[in-house]
Amino acid sequence: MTIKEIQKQLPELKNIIQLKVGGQKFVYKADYQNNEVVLKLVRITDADDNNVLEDAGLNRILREVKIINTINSIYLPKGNSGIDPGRLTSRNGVYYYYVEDYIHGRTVREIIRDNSIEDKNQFIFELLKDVCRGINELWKRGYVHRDIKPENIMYNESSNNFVLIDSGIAYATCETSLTPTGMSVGTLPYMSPEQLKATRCRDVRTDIYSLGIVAYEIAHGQHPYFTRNMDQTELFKKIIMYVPPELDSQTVGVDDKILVIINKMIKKRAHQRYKDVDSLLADIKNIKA
Amino acid sequence: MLFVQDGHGPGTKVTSSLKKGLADGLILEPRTKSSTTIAKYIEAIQDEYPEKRILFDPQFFASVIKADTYGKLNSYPYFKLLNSASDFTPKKLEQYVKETIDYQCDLGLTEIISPALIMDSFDSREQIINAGMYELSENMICILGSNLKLYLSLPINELALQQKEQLLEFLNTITNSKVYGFYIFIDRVRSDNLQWTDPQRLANVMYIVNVLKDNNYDVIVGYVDMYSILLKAAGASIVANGWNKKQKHFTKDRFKQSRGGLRKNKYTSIQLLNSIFIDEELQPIYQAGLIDDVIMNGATDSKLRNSPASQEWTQGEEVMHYWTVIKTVMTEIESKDSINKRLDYLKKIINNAAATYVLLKANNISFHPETGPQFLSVWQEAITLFEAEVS
Repeated sequence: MTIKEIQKQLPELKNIIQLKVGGQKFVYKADYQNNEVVLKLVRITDADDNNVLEDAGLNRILREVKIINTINSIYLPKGNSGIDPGRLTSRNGVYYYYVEDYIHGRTVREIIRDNSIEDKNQFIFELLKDVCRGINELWKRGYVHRDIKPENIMYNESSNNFVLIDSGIAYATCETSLTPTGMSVGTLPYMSPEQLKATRCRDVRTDIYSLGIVAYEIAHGQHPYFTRNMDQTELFKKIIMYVPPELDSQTVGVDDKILVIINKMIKKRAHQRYKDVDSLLADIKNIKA
Repeated sequence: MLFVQDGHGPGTKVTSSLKKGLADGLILEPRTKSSTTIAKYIEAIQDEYPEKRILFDPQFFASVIKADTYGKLNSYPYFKLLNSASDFTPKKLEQYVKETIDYQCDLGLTEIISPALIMDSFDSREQIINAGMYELSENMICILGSNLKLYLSLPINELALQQKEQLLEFLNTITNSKVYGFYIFIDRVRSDNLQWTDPQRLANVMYIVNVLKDNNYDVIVGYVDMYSILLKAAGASIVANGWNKKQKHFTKDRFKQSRGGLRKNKYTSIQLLNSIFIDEELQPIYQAGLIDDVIMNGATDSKLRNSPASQEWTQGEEVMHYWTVIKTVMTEIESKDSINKRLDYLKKIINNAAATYVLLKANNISFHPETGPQFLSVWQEAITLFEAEVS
């Protein structure tokens, strides 16, 4: 879909520029009434009116829209109430669109890549605290994010906090699963063992695990399991079977209290992790005690 | 904490243990007391010892056991035999939960034990029924009020403890429960020997207790003999046992017609971490001049220092000393501020017990399978297996 086609159907959006494309998803930045917003488009049908997005995929998008429009938290993206979600048509097919407030900042992946973490202890402390609050906001409403990774955590430079973005595959514990039994969703290196096994045991502890892997990666400077060129089967095995070396505060330069928390977050058995975000947050607050 | 697992013929044993501070509470068993007796029994204890805690295990699991006798259970309004699939519809489960919880509330109790069936495996039909009853119990307690503390009942058949993967999955599920605690007991496969023979099963019981404790639940383990000290070290907040074998060791045999039998006096040795027969074992130890190696020589047992077989040793004295030993070891365990220190302490006293058994053997003292040292190596191995799981 061209920017001209978008602008014609959404004339209230100005200065539209494309940010990224991934699969059937297109992300743009635009101005709306003196604010910067993010416009997200998901292709539903092609030019011949054939579905390119399964029902489950569309339902996930609708779920994400529901989440961003109903939860008001600085730790999660906000839907833009001025523009209702809807459909756009182009000669390439039909697209579903929705709009979020634009977050000024970088993703944690970009920050890691730029080597711009000055104080690892402070960075991990703030990251854990803020993302936990985001996870808790979702969990209080019965959602599990299921795709926590450095690419899905942004540092908002306007409000100086981390934001957990992209709840596209959030799992609603009270609703019908959108994923057929036996299938896993998420991003493999950050998926919990129970996600890989595709058991029905998917609760907040899954998100706690993934956040723990992100924190481990920052503390250690490398992922506990994943290395470049590793094939999926090997990674799968490592996540299920391999116990990563416990981090040593002397070697990695991170406070022992933080490492103890991370080690508990990434336990393979869900029942050995933190039971809930409140008990994790209590330990995080104790870091500074 | 140590609780009395109530049973037949309490006499003054229960009140004495509460008065002396050996026991901190009581778990009632409706099989041994009628519904008319139990209310008065509770009232009498609450009047005299208001600070002591009382729990009532509804023993709902007996509803599906083919028994020779249900004891006094038939006198309870919530108890009925359930023998067909149609007895377990969601609507009926709701009724059972309501009746058993209402009954405990009517007794004025504030710590409530949920109904449950004995799980033969962690993916059995019974476990599925239990999952339904747990959820209904949680919901009901939510409605009834915040002053009530709910303990989910986990009656586990010993053989289920062999299934590691199912156990881990089960723990993942139950650690999501929003309840105050769990009341666990193991339905043992052997009724003739109280000792554990399979270290892996014992390690798994320790693991269950530890996981639940680490998930901030209050963990009560019922029907535990001396191995209660292992469970205490693993994280149990309360262990419960009583004065006869059926209160220290749960098997379904309690629902069979009793064949009676002569009770042989036993003595619990803190040095041996075991109860031994007075006439057949403690007396020869005395005759070999080794009595000080096995007795505590405190207020509860000093009279056995001289020719123990010739001393009068009532069941009341026997159990008071038994509780004194368990309480003494548990107090020491409680004083350790980490699981590693607690396990180190256990290893130390197990090694000491093994050394004492060696000394006794060298002096030609022989033991029965149940009173001999075999259990010590099972405990040692269980601790090693448990440590590997929690490290």
